[in-house]
Amino acid sequence: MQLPLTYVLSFSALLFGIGLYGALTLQNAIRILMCIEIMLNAVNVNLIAFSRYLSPLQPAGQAFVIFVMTVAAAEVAVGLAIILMIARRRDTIDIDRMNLLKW
Amino acid sequence: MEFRLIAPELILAGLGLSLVTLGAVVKKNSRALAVVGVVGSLAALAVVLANFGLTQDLFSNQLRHDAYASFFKVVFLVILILLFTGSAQYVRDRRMPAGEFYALTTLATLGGFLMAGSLDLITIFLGLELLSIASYALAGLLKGDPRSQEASIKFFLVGALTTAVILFGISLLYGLAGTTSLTGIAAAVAGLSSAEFPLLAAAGLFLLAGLGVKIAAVPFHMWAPDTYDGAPTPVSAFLITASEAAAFAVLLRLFAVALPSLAERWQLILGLMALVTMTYGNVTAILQTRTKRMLAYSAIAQAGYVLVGLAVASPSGVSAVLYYVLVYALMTVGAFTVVLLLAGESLGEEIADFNGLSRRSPLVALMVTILMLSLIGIPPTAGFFGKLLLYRAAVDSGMVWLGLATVLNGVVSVPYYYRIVRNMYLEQGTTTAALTPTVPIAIVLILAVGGTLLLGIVPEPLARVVAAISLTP
Amino acid sequence: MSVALIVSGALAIGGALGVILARAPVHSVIALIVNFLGLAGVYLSLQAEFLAVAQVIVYAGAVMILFLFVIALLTVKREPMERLTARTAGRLPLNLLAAFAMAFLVVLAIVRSDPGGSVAVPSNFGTVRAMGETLLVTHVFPFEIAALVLLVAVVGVVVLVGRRPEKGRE
Repeated sequence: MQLPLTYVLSFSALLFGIGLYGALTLQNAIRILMCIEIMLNAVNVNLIAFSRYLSPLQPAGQAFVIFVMTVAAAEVAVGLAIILMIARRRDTIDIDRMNLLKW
Repeated sequence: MEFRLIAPELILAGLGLSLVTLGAVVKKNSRALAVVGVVGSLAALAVVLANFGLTQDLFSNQLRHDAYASFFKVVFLVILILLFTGSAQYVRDRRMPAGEFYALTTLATLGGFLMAGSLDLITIFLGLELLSIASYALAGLLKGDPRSQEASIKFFLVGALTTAVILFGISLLYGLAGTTSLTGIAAAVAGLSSAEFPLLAAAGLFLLAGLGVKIAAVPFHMWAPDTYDGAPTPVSAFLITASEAAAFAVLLRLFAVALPSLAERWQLILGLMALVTMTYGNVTAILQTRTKRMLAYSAIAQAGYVLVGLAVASPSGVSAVLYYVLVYALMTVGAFTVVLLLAGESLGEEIADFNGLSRRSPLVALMVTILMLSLIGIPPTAGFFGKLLLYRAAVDSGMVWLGLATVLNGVVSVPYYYRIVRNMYLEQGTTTAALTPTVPIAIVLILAVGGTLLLGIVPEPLARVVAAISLTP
Repeated sequence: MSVALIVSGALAIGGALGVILARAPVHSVIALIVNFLGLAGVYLSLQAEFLAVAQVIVYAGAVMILFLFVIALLTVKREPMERLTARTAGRLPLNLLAAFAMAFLVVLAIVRSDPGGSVAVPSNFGTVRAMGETLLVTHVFPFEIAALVLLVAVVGVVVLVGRRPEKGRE
């Protein structure tokens, strides 16, 4: 017995929404980054589900997931480096307090 | 498969790797690294020009070598060469890590190459990320400068969020078509039933929003002024020109090749986006007092002009976009080089720093005047002809209002560009010491201004070239 | 199969909510790990074995260590991790509306479009062998670009946080 594709896609849309909400609302740069990771994972669920249900013979979707993971890891590394660099100079990684430039 | 077709990409990858390595060996000598960078990119440019006319799909249709991609590659390489030439002084003065700066710029350019040439969602995505991740690091390269730090974190957070949004759109598109190839998607989308249209529209909206952030179109522009203002000046110039051009390359290819039906249905949406973007950019630019920030808003306005070519969704629109992207790159790099020149004496950040420039260096003042005239779109400069092409494309496809909006916006933009000219000729500066550009900066200025004038006085050759370029063979 | 899918999906949603609602960043990280493990379960129930393993190793392993490491570094000198936590001032209702309107519209689009049922799945779907062939034969070009992306990330990280021995450092 299999769950219909629509359910899986709705699950990923919900996950994406949660991530988006967090990324827009939270103040702490590290936590925003975590929420963006959740959004990327929602994308992965989509890709796997489509590849599993609709085109299992052509695994481009699964290959795509590998690339998304790679890029996500690279992005996290650079992002955390930026955060670390900033935290060394100031005492906060709260994006609301970064106001030298008018946001 | 012919290796010469991807030789430019290989050259850039090799150049990036060698610059990282060399940077670790020759720490002090940023000029030597710049020379290596210029030589390498000139070699890549030569190969791109030699291959210009060839059309072929590579790597099982993941990459397409055609005149469209080649044109963008020429634009990227021109930008890269000018930046390498002009920024050595700045890099040394600000103690930026030279090898890494040049290497990241090179690899970011390679990302732009892939975006322009991709025929597959996977390669588009990876090219985009190569460009973006390098840019995040580049924006923060002035490590001690809080403004640069702030530019970097804002750019990164918005960029990473954008990546997720673009990817979600891509995943929906993949689900609808069952393939990541753009031509495959076009075939699948043509066969979709109307019941599946909502999902297609959702995918298109995600992609438009995501790429809209990358080109800093209103309402997705919030990050742009901060990033362009705070980032190191050569990096700002790179982001405004190369990074935005690459995003336009993808948008055009995506909508023209994979989603032509959406492009036609969305003419109004894209047109309104163009209208709002250029108006917002121009009106806000008037209020700025910092040069880079003003140029940032001006960049938003210029992105609005380019969007006009996208909105008309016609071959003449594509040609107009290509022409304008090249011209805009020349104008912007020229303008930022002047900022670099003034920054040599810790000036150039405020518009008031242009005061009395005509007495300090009449030639530089004249060049700046030409650049500003071109940015407004006054003949005989290239900016005029570029806007003319956009206007014609809009009118020809029945969007007269959009054409008129472009012209009117040119008028709106006069005050802030004119202010710089007025400051140079009519205001008293704090210093009257003669200003002599260093040789590399003089070369960049001559190339940028010369190109702007040349393409304005004899526009036909280039106009013929871009008119012959089409996205659908 | 579908029971496993529902359970691990619920775990993933719970983890995601935990990331947003937790008070301290460290708790967020733990919630995120739960989310990633739940997702690995989802992948496994969708028969994507290789990706499920990769998910655990790459995300729950490497990426989360990175997060924990940075949080640890940031808390060494400064007292209050709590102060770095969520202050969800002002913009909350609007964001909630925006995010969930988006999710709702997408779900609506999905349901209305109903991309259809399932096709028979070949026996080698999602195995390491199938993935290897896809990655290194069909997608060998993107694979090489991914290597460059990683290179750029390494250079970027080193240049941003590496300290250079230079005189006159403050």
